[in-house]
Amino acid sequence: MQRRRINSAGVDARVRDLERRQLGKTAREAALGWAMSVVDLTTLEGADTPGRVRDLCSKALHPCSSMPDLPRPAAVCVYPAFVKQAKAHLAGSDVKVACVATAFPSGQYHLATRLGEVEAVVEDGVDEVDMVINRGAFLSGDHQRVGDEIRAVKQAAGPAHLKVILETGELATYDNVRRASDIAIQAGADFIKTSTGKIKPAATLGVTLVMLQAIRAHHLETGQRLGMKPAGGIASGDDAIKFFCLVKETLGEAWLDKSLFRIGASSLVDKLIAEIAALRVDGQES
Amino acid sequence: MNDARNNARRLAPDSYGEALVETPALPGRLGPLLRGEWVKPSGDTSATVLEPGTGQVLATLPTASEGELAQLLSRPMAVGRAASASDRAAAMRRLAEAVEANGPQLAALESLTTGRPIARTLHDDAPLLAGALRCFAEWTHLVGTADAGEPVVVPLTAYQSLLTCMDSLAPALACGRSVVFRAEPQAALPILRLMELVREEEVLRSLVSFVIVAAGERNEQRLIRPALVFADSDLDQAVEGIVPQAFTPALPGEAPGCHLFVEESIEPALLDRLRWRLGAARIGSPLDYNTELGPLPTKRALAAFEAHLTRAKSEGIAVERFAAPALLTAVRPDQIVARQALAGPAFVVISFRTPAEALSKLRATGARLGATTIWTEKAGKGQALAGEIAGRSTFCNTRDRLSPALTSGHAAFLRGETGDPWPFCSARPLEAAGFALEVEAEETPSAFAPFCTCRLIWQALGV
Repeated sequence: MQRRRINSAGVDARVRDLERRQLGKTAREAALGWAMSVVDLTTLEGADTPGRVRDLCSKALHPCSSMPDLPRPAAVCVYPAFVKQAKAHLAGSDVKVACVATAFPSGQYHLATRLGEVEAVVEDGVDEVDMVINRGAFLSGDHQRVGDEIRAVKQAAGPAHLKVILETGELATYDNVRRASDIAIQAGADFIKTSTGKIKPAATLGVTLVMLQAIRAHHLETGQRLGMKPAGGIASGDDAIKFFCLVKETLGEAWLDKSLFRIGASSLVDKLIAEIAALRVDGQES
Repeated sequence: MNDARNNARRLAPDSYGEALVETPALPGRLGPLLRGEWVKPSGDTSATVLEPGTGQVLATLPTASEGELAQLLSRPMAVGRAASASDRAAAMRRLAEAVEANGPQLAALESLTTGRPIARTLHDDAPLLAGALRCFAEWTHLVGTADAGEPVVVPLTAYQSLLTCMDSLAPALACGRSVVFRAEPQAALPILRLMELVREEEVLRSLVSFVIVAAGERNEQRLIRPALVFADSDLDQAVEGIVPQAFTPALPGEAPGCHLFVEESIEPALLDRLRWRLGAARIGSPLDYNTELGPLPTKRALAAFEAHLTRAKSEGIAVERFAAPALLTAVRPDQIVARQALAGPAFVVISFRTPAEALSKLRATGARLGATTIWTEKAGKGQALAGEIAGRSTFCNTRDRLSPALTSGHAAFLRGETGDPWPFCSARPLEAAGFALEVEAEETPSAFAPFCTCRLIWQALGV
């Protein structure tokens, strides 16, 4: 695999340029609605309980009773222990159940343990598995092992979609982010994902751009379309719109679909609802 | 099940919608200006200024003939001798503040008449002009008073009039020199507003004159913008840096377009990315905040651009159109389109095998060079090549970076008593910003005698 060196000044310049985009009012409301439709509504806390997961699923099915036309999130994302419960709550709906696996968030367990976890959640009926890469192996230069482990998890995941979390905050440089993206793509990832959301920095526009460019390079070479999920740190409508512009301008409108793009977030949906409501009130008054 | 939810698959807006800035008010006076005073036009000729995208008439301006202009230049011009250096400096700083305060109007006038996107004029051109006025204000005490003599004659074309002012007005005022702007009609409106601001400064007023000369059939040789892309570069970032360079010229004297020299081994990969990017170009009204490619400023410019493309086809060159932008591939340096600036948003693609061949093909075009960009992750290679390229500014691994302290290389450095260039900004702030800089001094036009023209090399120092 060719080692690519990333022009970090160029990435940062492109990000500054993207941050200047302004959307017209109608386009803004549509973009916020789009953002809602691609959210993986997430709870990944040590203190999660069945009640918390029940409320999350209810939110996914009925995001806002005063605006019933708002789209549902694409998925809920929970710990492995709650997959069965989430599946039951969401049965018959188009909301997917995703879960983290492979010793999330550190990934520092024996491979057999991590694979066993994946097999268990597949048996519970999970739709999507979000795995973490072995950052220890990556940062010590054992890239072959990183790729082999992803392939093993892909096999264990069976019919479930595999998202591969790079934990870009620990990879630190754009070069590493691109390298890890290429490894994950070559190893069979369906999606590449920025972060666990447990450390900062999480999803920045810069690392997301580098990962989108990796996806584009793969598409140009093979024709295959893979997905992208920035996760963590996307906390407002403005943030979501920046990512919307980034995806649209880097990969094009085909990727503005929940089958190819997701946002990992916990409190974002409420912010989006509030902002859409404000826009609609504004529209009525003018 | 709610139908809107069923339709969740395709919810994203197709476009960004309109984000238009307010149409600016036109300047109160439409010229001509002679030594700071508005005068009646001597003749009865006039020219219209059209909005490039719509053809709507914006204003009708009185024009002068070349003979009338020559007569104007033959009269003795004012000299800033009466104003002390400190008064001049204070006036330039106040003028800079006025330019900032009126930046949105200046930028909008520039965009409205030249087609340059408002995102560039508002965030780059107007602030750079204010910054240049401030920077050169700091040098007035070292310049002292100027001798009476030739004024600085600044031709303004419709590609980038505010940036041209940055390059010429600021150093001229610092020297206490008279400036005569001779503008094409399409370039006039933002500069007329600028003249209104200059006139508010008593000590600077008499130094400026402004006439509009009807745009004739001058076959001005504009500068080409070469970009050299090597196999060891980050192709994705190179494409993002090259595209704006082709859409909007950055330095005075340049036209839109890019001569793209690409290492043969990566030519298919680069062109794939370039086609992808051109297909997503944001084309629209120059007053729309999201537009990156507005209309060409005049019908003449558009006709010249189309003529270039027709000529390219007649030379057997493949021409791909992406709405407005065009891609001309497999071009030889001896072909006509390689030897001229394109005057429009197009890429002329010439491949090379080695760095030496890249330089050789670049020189073989015989074209005058504007700013050159070099894309390679090897800093040493970039520096070595930059040293061989005879353009005014070279950028390594970065898009256009203009500093008001350094303008485009012209009158960038003060010449000390020994005649050596004396940089007025140290290299350290540039290094902190991630750039290295080299200076090679050249002879400067006598109107800017205290300053010297320099060759600038900007090297991005990324991690």
